[in-house]
Parts: sequence; structure tokens; C-alpha cells
Amino acid sequence: MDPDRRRSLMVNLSVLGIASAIAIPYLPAGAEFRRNLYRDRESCIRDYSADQCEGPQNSAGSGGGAHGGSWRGPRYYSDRSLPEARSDPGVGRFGLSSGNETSIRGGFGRVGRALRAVG
Amino acid sequence: MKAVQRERLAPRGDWQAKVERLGMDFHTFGGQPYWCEAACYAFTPAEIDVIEAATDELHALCLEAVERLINGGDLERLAIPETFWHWIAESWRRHDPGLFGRFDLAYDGSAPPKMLEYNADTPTALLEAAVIQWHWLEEVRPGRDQFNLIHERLIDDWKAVKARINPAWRVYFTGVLDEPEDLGTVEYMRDVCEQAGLAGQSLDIAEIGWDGKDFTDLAGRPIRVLFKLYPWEWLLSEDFAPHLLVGRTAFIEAPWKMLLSNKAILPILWEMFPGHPNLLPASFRRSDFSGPCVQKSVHGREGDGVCLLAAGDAGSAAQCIWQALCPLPVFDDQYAIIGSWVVGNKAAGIGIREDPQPITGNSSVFVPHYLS
Repeated sequence: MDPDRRRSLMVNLSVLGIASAIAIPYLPAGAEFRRNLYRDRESCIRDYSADQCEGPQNSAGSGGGAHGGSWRGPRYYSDRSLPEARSDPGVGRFGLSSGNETSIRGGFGRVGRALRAVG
Repeated sequence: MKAVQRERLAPRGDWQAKVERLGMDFHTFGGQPYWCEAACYAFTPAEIDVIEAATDELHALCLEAVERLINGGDLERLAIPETFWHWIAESWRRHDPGLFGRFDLAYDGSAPPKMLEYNADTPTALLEAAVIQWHWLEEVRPGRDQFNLIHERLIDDWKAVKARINPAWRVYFTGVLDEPEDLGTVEYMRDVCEQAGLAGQSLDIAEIGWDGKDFTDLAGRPIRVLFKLYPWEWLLSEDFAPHLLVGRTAFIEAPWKMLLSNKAILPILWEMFPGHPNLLPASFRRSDFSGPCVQKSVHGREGDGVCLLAAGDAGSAAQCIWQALCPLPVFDDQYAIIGSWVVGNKAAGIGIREDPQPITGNSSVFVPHYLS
């Protein structure tokens, strides 16, 4: 590097420009979600569709977790009485899952959205 | 006469399209340009040397202050809940990475730069400083230099992160992503991360899940590394805060950085290094200033919670600190503040914000610079 140079030699970007395409879904604070787990792809597809089923996670992501070998259906609200649940993929047509996993979302972001709303 | 020069010039005719192509679609607020190339600042190399040295010095002082705070074990003056003190200390002792930060400095080219605050947790105006003004220089002042090593230093920083983690792990990037400025900053950080050879994925802060053991992405995958453009003090006050203590996620910026982004660091630095030429007198007591001074909320951001107090004005006592008044230099009726970037623990470049009002806020415009 030229010791007198005070600026980056090159400033190239690779992923910027697609940023504005991101859409943020509304997530009620503390909302609990489920995903059905399946022993095989066929069972998942029968409950949902091929596009909605995700294969076993491998270590190239962030680690497989406890159910790394299972097929997964789409995420849906655990509380089926919520208005938001009307437009989610639901619990599956035939109940062929071997189990499910739950997660809670919306536990971060409350302050940021509140301050932005008044800013 | 001020040494730093502000020059007026005609903006490029299609500047909006040019900056949008670089990912900056937040160039205009309320019909007024936020990216302002109707002017630029010219610094001499000697002035940049002064800024660089002051920035390195201030960052070193800050790290010393963190060490003392951690060893003292008392973070009450920073209004941080005691539940998190040990967790913060552990992040410091593990040397969890802090990639970047931005000092706000008052500097007119003559007196030593003075530290107004350190945006060490969620500094913004990054894309403008690292990318937009670099490309502006290439076109408008070709052949000139600029104090701006931010981009290549960030890539180096992410390479250092890669060396510390499983390189197959995906790095997640989060913030309030329906805010264009935040999205632009987050996506830029993802860009430099990917240029360092790591896979990145963005998700909104509200989309982060908790499965009882890990923070998770929308597919339920554990988040092992999370870059967050979302202040620590907000995270610590929200529903998922208790999970921070038991989760396995590595955060960037690291938890210990919240000690430096807190305005309480200003009086603590003054207590530790009284009379330092790059510091302003600051105190936890208004009564330590007989005349006018500046009141700052310890958790204030982007000018929020900052007010100028006249002599005799007692101000507010709730979670505030007070700092000696140091008026920003004025160029063409614009108050100018220098954002001096620290990347990889070294001074890496500057960006200039200016405003007709003496307090720099979210709408203050960004003006490029070059070396004369």
C-alpha cells in the first residue's frame, strides 16, 4: 500500500441495490409460531406443497439444531384464533407430521418501531 | 481565519441516480437533499494528521475507560440494569469484536479536535462516508485524495471475524429494515462481510425468533453471529432481553461497546483524564458548570436528548450528563461536525455533517470532503 494514500484503493459493491426490495411482515410482539416436522418429503408435500417444504438443514447454514434431519413445513401461528392466522399456511391438511418445533418472534424491535413512529 | 475550507460547487446533474446506483436511496429528506454535494470541505494533509492522531488517541482512552469500568464492576452510572453487568464484562474479557465506531468531533483546523461523543454501537452515515463520497471524489476531484480507508478496513475487519468463527456459519444482519437509512447501512455491512468471504443474510429485528435455546432466523435456524444496527439499550429493555444472557449468539457490535456509546462515558473520561486536549469537561452534576453548558441524555441518539443550557438553567436530572459548551465551527452559516471513523481499532476516515442549527440531528446533511 502506498503509505501516503489515505483512501481505499477500490470501493466495489456486490449486493447493494436490491435492498429496497425487502418487505417486512407484521409480527405481533411475542407471537408464537410452529413448524411441522416430517420424516420424509412426501408427507410434508401432502400436508402442504412442494414449494412450502424445506429439506433437512445441514451444517452450512448455522447448524442443524435438534431436528436437523427432518423436513419442515411452513411457519404458522400457534394461536389459531389470531386474525393474522387466517392468512398463514395453517397446520397442514392431513396431520401427517411427526412433531413440531416452536419459536417466539417479535421480542425485539418494539422500541425502535415506537421511536421511528414518532420521529 | 479558519484553515479548513468549505467550497461551494455545482452538484452533478444526475447526482440522485448516481448515488442510488450505489445503494443510497435515502439521499433526500422532506424534499431537501440529505446527501449535499453543493459544497465540499477541503482539508490539508496536516489537518487530517491531527484528526487521525486525535481519533486514535481518543479510542485508546475509551478502551482504557472500558477496562476500568469492567474491573470496577459498577455500571450503575451508565443506567445499565445490573442483570447485564456480568454478561457485558464477559464479552470484554472474551475480546468479542467491535468492528467500528464514529467519534463526533468539533474541529476548525486550529484548536485541537474535541470529542463531543462516541457513536460506538450503532454509528450511521456509514455508506455515505465509505462509498458515496469516495465515488464523488473519483468523479468531481479526480486525482485528489480523501481520508477514507473505511471500506477496505471493514473488509479486513470481517476477515478477522471469519478467522474467529466457523467460516461456514451464516452472518445475519438486522435492524429496523423498513427505514431506508438503516436498511442501506445494514446492507452495506452485509456487502463488505460477503466480500470478506462470509455468507450474509438480512432479517428485520422483529423477525428474530427464540426457540428456547437460540435466537433463530425465519427458517428456525440458530443465529450464531448477528450484526445489529439496533442500540443495545433498546435490546436490553425488550421482551427477549433475558434470552441474551443464555443464548449462544455472538453479537456485532459486542455488548461491551454499549459502555462507549453511552453518554456517561464523557464524564468518566474527564474524571480519568482531566485536562486532556481532545476532551471537554463533563460531569454527572449540572452544578459543576457555572455558565452555559450542554445537557445530554445518557441514552440519547442523533441529537435526541441534547439541549443547550443557559447560565442559571438547571436542566433535567433524569439520566443526563453535562458537558462544557464547545460551539461547532461555522462555515457559510452552517455548523459543521466531523464524524471520525474507527475501524479495526484505528482511525479510518471522516465524514462531515452540517446544519444551520448548532445541534447536529438526524436531518443534518452529509457533505463530502477531499485533501487539498
